[in-house]
Amino acid sequence: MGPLAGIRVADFSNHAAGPQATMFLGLLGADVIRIESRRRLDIQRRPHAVYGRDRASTFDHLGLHKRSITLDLKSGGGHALALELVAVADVVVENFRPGVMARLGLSWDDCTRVNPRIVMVSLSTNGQEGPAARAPGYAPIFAAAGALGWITGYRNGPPVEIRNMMDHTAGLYACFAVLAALHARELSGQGRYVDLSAREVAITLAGESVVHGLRGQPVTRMGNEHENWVPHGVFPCSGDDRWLAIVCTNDREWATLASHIAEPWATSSTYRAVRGRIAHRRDLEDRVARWTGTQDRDRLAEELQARGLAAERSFDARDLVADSHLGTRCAIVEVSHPAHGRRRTVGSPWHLKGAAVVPTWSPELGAHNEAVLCGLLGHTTDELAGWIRDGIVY
Amino acid sequence: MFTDLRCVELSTHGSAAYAGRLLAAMGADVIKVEPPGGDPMRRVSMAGATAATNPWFEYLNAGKMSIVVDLASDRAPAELEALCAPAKVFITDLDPRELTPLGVSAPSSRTLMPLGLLCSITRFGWGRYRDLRGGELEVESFGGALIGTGSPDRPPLKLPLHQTVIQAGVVAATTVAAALLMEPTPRWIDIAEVGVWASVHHGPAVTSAQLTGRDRKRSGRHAEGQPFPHCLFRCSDGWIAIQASERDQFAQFVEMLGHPTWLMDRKFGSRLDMGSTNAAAVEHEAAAWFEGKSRAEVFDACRRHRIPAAPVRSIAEVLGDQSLMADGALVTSETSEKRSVTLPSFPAWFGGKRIPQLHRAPMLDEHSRVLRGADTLR
Repeated sequence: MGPLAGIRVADFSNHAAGPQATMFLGLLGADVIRIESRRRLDIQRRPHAVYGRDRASTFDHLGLHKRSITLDLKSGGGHALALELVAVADVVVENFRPGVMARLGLSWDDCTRVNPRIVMVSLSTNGQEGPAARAPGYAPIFAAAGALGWITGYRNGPPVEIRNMMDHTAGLYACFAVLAALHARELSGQGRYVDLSAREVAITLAGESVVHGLRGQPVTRMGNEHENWVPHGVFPCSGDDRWLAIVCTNDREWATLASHIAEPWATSSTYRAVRGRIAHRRDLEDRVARWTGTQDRDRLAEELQARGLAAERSFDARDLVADSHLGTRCAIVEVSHPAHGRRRTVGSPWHLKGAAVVPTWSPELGAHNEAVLCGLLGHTTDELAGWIRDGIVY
Repeated sequence: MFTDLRCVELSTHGSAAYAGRLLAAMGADVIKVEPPGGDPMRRVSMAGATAATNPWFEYLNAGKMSIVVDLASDRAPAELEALCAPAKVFITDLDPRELTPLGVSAPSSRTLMPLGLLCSITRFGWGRYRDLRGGELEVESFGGALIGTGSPDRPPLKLPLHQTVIQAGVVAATTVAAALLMEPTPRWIDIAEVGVWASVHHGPAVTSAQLTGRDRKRSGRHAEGQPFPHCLFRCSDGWIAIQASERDQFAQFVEMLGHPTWLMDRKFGSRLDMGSTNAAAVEHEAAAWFEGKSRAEVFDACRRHRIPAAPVRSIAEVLGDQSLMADGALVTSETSEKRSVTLPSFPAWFGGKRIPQLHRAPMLDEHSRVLRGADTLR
C-alpha cells in the first residue's frame, strides 16, 4: 500500500513525459487508468525502431503499475465515459498539445463541472498560453529551448544529445506538482489546475548557470572537467567501453592516487600541488588514462575505494541489472507478466517506510475495459458489448 | 500548498537543499541548519564568479531560514532535536558516517526526530556501499547516467552542472509530499542518489539489455536507437535540435530538405541507419540545405512544415527571452546583500497563477534568535 492508495488517476497522457509522471504516481500506490486508443496507438506500444516488439509490452516500462482502457474520445459515447471516469478520479494527467483536451470536451472547465475536487495537470512543451504554446516538442526540443542542451557537451566540442533525462524529469516535476495540489486540496477542499512547461523544467535544470549568466559571468560546456579538481574525469579501462570515474579533490588524494599508480611521472613535482595539476591538466589526465587503460575496471575501483579515493565504475544497463546493491534497494525490481513470466525493470528511486508498492507489469491494450467500465463505473457487460460493437470502446 | 508544513534541512552537497527549495517554493517553512562559517556552498563558485554570495547558493536556498548549529559539539544532538520538535520533516544529505554521531545509525533507527519524518539522501544508500566515497561524477557513473552520454569516440560525458543534486532533490521533495499524505506519516524515507539515476532514467535500457543484450551507446549529437532525424544540426550561427519521430513528420522533413525520394529509395538504409551508421553520409547530403541558414531560418521552415524543432539556445539567449520574464518563468528577488538576483521559478502555473515569489536566500544564522526564542517564525 503506497502513500497514494485510494487516489485514482485518469491518465490521458502518451509518449514519454506524461506517462512518466503517472508511472511515478502508480509507484506511489495510485490507481492509474490509462485511456488509450487503438487507432492512435501510443508510441510506447508500437514496435521499437531498434528493439522490435515483444508481446509482453516489453519496452513500455512507462506502463508499469497501470490499467488500460480504450475509448474513442471523439465519439459522444466515449466522451461521456471519459467524463464518468473523471467524476470518480482524483487526478487527471494529459500532455497533448494545448487545445486538444478542450476540443475533446475534457478541458479543466469540463472536468471541474463533473468533479470540483479534481486535480488536473497539463504538461506541454511551452505551457498552455503564450505565442509558443502550440509548438510541438519532444525531449531534445525542451532541452534546446531551455539552455540545458547548449551546456551539455565536451569542452571545446559541440552540444551533444542529453537523451532521456528531459522527459523523465518533466514527469517527475509533474508528479511533485500533483502531490502539492493534493495537499492544497486537503486544506481547501477544492481541486487545482496545474500548467507545467517542459522547457521551463529544462531551465530549472540549468538554474545555476542562469543565475551566473544574469551576472554577466560566462558559462561554457565543461565536459568532464572541474575547474578546481584535477584529475576529475572518466578514464578508460581494459576491455570494451569500460570506464572508471576518478576524482581527486585535494593534494592528499592526488598523492594517494599517485602512490597507487607507482610510476615516476605520477610523483613528479609538476603535479604535486593542485596549481600544477590544473596547469598541466590535459597532460596529466592523458597519462592517467594510459595507466587506467591497462587496469581492470572493477578491481581498480575496489582498490582505489579501499584507499579512500572517489572512484566509481561507469555502469551500463547490464551492470545495473546485475548489481545486487541496486537490487536490494529495489532500484531494479522483478515484475511478473501472466503470460511471459518474470522480467527485471526499474523500480522506485525511494524507500518509504511502510509504503512499499510492488509494481505490476504494463497492461495489454484495453485489458481493463470491463474492470473499469463495469466494475468501477457500474455499467453492464451488455452495455460494454454494445460500445465495443459501435466502436466507442475499441 | 504546504503552508502547514515546517521542515528542518541539513545539507552539505545540495540535494537536501534543492528538496528544501521546492518545498519552500510551495509554502513550507524550511529551516536551514548551517555549521559555523556557513554552508560550504556559500563559497563554492563557477569559474569567473565574483559575487560575494554564490549564485548556486542563492538558487538552492531561496525562501528559507538559517540557523547555525555546531554539529561537532556535544550539544548538537540536543539542539537539533529541539529544532526538529515542532517540525514534521527533517531532510538531510549528510552521509551515514556524518549522521551516526547525531544518533542516526540507519534511517529506521534513530533518536533524532523520534516522532516525525526523516528523509535521508545519501550518495550510495545505507547498505553495503554506505562508506563509498564519491561526488556527482561517481554517482552518475555508478547510476548509469554517464555511459550513454557523449560521443562514441570519446569518454562518457558527465551531465552538466549539478544534475544529481537537482534529480535527488526533486525525488526527495516528491517522496516527502507523498509521505505526508499518509496516515500515520511514515517515519523515514531513504533515497540513494545512485538509485535515482538507475531507476528513474533507465527503463528502456534496462529492459532491452536483458532481452536483446543491447545496451545504450554514446552517439554524440544523435539520439542512438532512434529514427532519423533525432539530432542536432549545424546552422550558420549555432545548432538546432530536430526530432521528427512520426512518419508524417519525416515526410515533411525530407520535403523541406528537397529530398522527397528519401522516403522511398532507402539509399541510406532505414531511418535508424540514417542516424547511426550512415549519419555522416546523410549529413553531407543534407548540409547543402542547412548551408548559410541561421537557426531562426531553419526554425521557421520547421514550423511551416510542422516539424518539432528548437534552436539550441545559450544561457544568454534564454535570459534575453523577454517572454520568460513576462511569464514569470524567471523572477527577480533580492539577495541577502540587498542585490537583485533573478531565479527560475517552479516550472508551472497553479490555478492560473505562478507560485508566489520566493523570498531571498537567508544570511548566515539570520533566524537564530527567533528560532531559539519565539514560537512564531514569521
